[in-house]
Amino acid sequence: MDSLQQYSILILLLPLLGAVLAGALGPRLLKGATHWVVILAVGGAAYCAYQLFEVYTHLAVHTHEPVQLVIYDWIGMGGPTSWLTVNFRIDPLALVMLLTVTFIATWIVVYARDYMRHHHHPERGYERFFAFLGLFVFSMCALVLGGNFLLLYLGWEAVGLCSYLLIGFYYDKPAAAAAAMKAFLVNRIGDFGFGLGILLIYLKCGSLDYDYVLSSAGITALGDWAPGIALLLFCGAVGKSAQLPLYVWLPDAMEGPTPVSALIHAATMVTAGVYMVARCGAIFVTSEAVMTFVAAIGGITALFAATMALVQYDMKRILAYSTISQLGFMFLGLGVYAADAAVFHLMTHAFFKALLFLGAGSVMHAMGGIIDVREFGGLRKVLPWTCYTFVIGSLALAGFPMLSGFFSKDLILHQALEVQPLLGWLAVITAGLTAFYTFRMVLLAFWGPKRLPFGVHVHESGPWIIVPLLVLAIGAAGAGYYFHEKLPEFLVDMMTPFDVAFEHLPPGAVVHGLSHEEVGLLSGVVAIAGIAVAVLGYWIRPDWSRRWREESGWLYILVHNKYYVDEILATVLVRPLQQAAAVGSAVDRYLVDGLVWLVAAGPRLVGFILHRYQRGAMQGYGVMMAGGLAVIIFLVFIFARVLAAAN
Amino acid sequence: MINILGQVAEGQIWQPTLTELSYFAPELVLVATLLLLLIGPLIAGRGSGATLVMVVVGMVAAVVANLLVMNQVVTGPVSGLAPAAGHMLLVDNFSIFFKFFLLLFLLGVTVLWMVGSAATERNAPEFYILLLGSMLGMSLMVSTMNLLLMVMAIELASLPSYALVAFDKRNRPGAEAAIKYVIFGGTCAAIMMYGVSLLFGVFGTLDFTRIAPQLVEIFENLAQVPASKLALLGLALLAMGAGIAFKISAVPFHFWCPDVFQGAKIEVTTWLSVASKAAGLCLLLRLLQVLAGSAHASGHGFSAAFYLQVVTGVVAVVAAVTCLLGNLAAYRQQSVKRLLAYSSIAHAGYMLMLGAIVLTGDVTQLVWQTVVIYLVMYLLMNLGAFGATALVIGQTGSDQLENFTGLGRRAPALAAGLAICLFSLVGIPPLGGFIAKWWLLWALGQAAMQQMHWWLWALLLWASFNTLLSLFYYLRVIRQMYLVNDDRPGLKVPAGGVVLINVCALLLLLSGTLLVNPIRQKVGRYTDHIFGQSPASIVQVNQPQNISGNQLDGRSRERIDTQ
Repeated sequence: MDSLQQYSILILLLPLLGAVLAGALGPRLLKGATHWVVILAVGGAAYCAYQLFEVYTHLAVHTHEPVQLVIYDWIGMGGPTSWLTVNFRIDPLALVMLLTVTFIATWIVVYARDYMRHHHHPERGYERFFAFLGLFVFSMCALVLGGNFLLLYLGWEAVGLCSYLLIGFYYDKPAAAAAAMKAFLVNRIGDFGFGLGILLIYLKCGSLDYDYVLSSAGITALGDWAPGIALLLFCGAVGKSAQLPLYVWLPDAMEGPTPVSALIHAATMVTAGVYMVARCGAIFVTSEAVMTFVAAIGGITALFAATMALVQYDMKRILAYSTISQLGFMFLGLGVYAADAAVFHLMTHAFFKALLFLGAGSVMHAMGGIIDVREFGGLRKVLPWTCYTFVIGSLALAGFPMLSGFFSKDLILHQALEVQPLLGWLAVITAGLTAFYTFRMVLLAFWGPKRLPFGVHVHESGPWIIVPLLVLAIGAAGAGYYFHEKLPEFLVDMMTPFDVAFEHLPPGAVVHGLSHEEVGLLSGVVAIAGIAVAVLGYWIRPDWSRRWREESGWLYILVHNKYYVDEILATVLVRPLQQAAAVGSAVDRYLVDGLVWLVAAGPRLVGFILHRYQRGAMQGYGVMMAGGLAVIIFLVFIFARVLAAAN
Repeated sequence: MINILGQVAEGQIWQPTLTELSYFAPELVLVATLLLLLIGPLIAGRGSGATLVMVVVGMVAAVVANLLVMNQVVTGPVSGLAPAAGHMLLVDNFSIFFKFFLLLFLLGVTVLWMVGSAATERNAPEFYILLLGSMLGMSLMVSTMNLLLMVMAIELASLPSYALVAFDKRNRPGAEAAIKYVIFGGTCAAIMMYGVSLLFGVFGTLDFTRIAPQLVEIFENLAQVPASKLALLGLALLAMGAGIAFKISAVPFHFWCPDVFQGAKIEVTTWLSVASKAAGLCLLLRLLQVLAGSAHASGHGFSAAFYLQVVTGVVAVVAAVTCLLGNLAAYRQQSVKRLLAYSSIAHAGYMLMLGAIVLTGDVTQLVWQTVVIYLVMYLLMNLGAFGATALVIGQTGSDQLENFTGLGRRAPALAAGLAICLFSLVGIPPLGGFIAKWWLLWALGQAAMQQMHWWLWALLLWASFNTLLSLFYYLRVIRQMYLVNDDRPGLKVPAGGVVLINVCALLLLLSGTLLVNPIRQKVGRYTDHIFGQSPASIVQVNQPQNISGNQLDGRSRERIDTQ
């Protein structure tokens, strides 16, 4: 018990300490060596997470019961509710998240050492960057470890803040500043619902502890409100995990440095929504309609984002749309009661998507900041390490048999075809599109004739970049096979509410179609077909892809312009809001400021008067003292009179 | 002479045993340190270094003595000068806390002194003799229920303070401030002694634990008591209160405060701003507590008791006015010392609000806990704020607000620490000051729920409203540090001072977050068995002939009252 407590506190404290040290000592003392502080801190957190896992699994060999640790009460004087208690909940779900987050983060911080040093702005903000990364890891771990909704919310907002700070890291670049603002604002919409949901939970349950709220007593207390609360919570997930209709911020977020895209906008923060829904499964499964809604949002987003990824040329943007699409897969998995598959996909996705982003970063690094695949090609020979690790990541993303993406996607597809056949078939199509756009990108960048941007001296990256790529490539290749039986077993406790609800689905809701093997075969065939089409169109017969583009006509233009969603939002939402803001600003300037001035003017006036009477003349003081005493005596008299009359 | 010896032989004069003496070990150590400081310089020279060594030895010894006493004493009056005079001194967990508190503060002020003026100080032993002297007085103020000793303790605390204010002989404002301080202090002391002598005249004793029950009786049978006697009593109590209000700098006895704080050397200002007010406040709370305990013991309910409401009402009004006046007058100050002086008046007002509710039955424990927390937080905040001001004065020669311009750039570490202390003074979460305010508001709310008096709710709202008011003038300093900027050169502040301020800031930060719960548990320890809190102890004090040792609060404590 004690070691659980120590390790879980260390997991939080180490990154925080690293961030503080990097921020405080970085600019003056550590300078170019700042990365060491954060590498050690985050690596130490990863080690502690592993130790925590060890201790926990030995503690509960057969039953993976959650362990609730009360770290401290903030203010809990009197009263039965102590909603300001800081408690951690350690259970399989939290452990899977913790291990994934800290492991991936460690390698990304290592990668950032070289990347941030030589990239766009050499040596500028180097310390700041590492301090923010440490802060992010701290917030993310707090989000995952927290044992109540308040900590979840605080962590949620804190990772949002870190994301804002890091997207806008190159704050003197207007696009980066605008992207940061957009991410922040769009997330506000989701977080509003999320906060409202938590507030309702508190009102209905009188507690925010998972232990109570997610127990059967808590669900009973929520009563009819449970589906509504689930929808409100899901609002938050839609914002944070970039689902329809709030996905618009994620592609723009690619303005941030690439390690940030890899860590925050692919592997960890954006999956917080998935984590949250899995965590609150007990609330979500109270209504079949809500589950269907979650699945529908996920499935539609997955397809929608995949189509947009088909026609992009910016590698990071392709990957961003792919991330949205894969997150859609996870929500689809959640919505069809396959939460373990969703969490499994979350984990494998963290590996291969982080790998792909880092690979794209390595290309960008070599190309001197250029990331548009029209500008270069045939890099296979000059960037061999990057190329082959990137291919492994792509195969995993495409769902190539026996690589990690295959196993997790397979599980989701299987269950989706049973519970929501329509969405399931859409997801199969999406899987084919995924394989296609992934290899379109690979082939454009690495195969074909060698083309380089003008004046770029190409060089393969150093070991600081290559080693993380290799480590993540091993994970992307092997994690699926290694975990595909262990993980669902480990997560069995988290699955209880989902399984129970699944059993209680009305007869006819579950279609028994394809077996596990058949689905595996299907998705393998689809993935290989997608890859084959891409190879055909972009390597063997490049003129075919040009023809496809020309013949699709208006459809291509529509998709290429991202369905004009940004433009529609600008007309429908942003411009009216700007006008309203102008009115609000005027009200603020003339009315509110005036009122504030008036409020402060009173004390200022009295202060002026008092000032006049306290100028140091003893006699004056004496008179006032005596006068004051007289007033007090008078008061006593009055009090006595009033009270005597009252009694 | 023979007469006295005869009395000693007959046991009429108190002859302490070793055990009894050991209860006063902390005070005795203080006296010993004073003697050491008087004699030591003859041997070791008058340098600051030698003085510091002696002071530190004394402080360590006092801490040890305090720890020893803490492990022995439960609560209760432990000694009397003579049976006829009643008990003189009392030791309970709270008085031990207060001695720790003073020692901690002395440590802070000593660091401040080392950084600021130790190098140029030529009268270091005298400075510390005066400082320790006033400290002895303050610790006695919180350890007595005998009015005679109370008066003496207040004087013992005050007289060295007067001298301390004028300590720097070349400083004319200091001398002027000291004169004002002496005249006001003397006047208030005279008023207080007049009140005390009136009480002695009425009751024939100076032991407040014996006076309180009689007071209760008189007020309970108000109709039968002649009006002249009532007027006399009211006058006596008010006059006594005036002396204490002077120490707390409550309105209308606050006038000395800004002038003295501005005139005195900053270490002295820091010392007075916290220690002297804290001692006065705790003395007042103790008196009220004994009154409440007597009322309870006499079988009359707390809340119904008529006189309690009168007393409470007066304290509440004084507290409310003190609070408001402090906050309003701080607005226009250009001198940061003066601004902080008014801020300390306002904080005295907040703390005085506790005096208004200590009489409410079930919240007394909460009130004492709040006092402990508020005092500790207040100590840290004020030490930090005055310390930072001292450093600015040391570098720029004046405490005008304009000297703080751009401090965020000129001395970032100093400015950050000061900003945290100022935010904490406002009471912004999650700093220690917020926790203190939270306890205060919580206690007020609990009392209001107990008594169902609208004016207690009003007091609660008033405290919150005043917190809001105070925000603006603290922000003025912060604004000056961070938002106003010109090209003044950077400041080279002594590292020790910056460390002191940032330690305060860090402690405030921690006590608002990680340490909230440990502190709460610790506080419980110091507020167990407050003297006068449990009715049983009062009764036993009133009928000394019936005391048997194991009766006291159910916890075995050897009998130490010799009768």
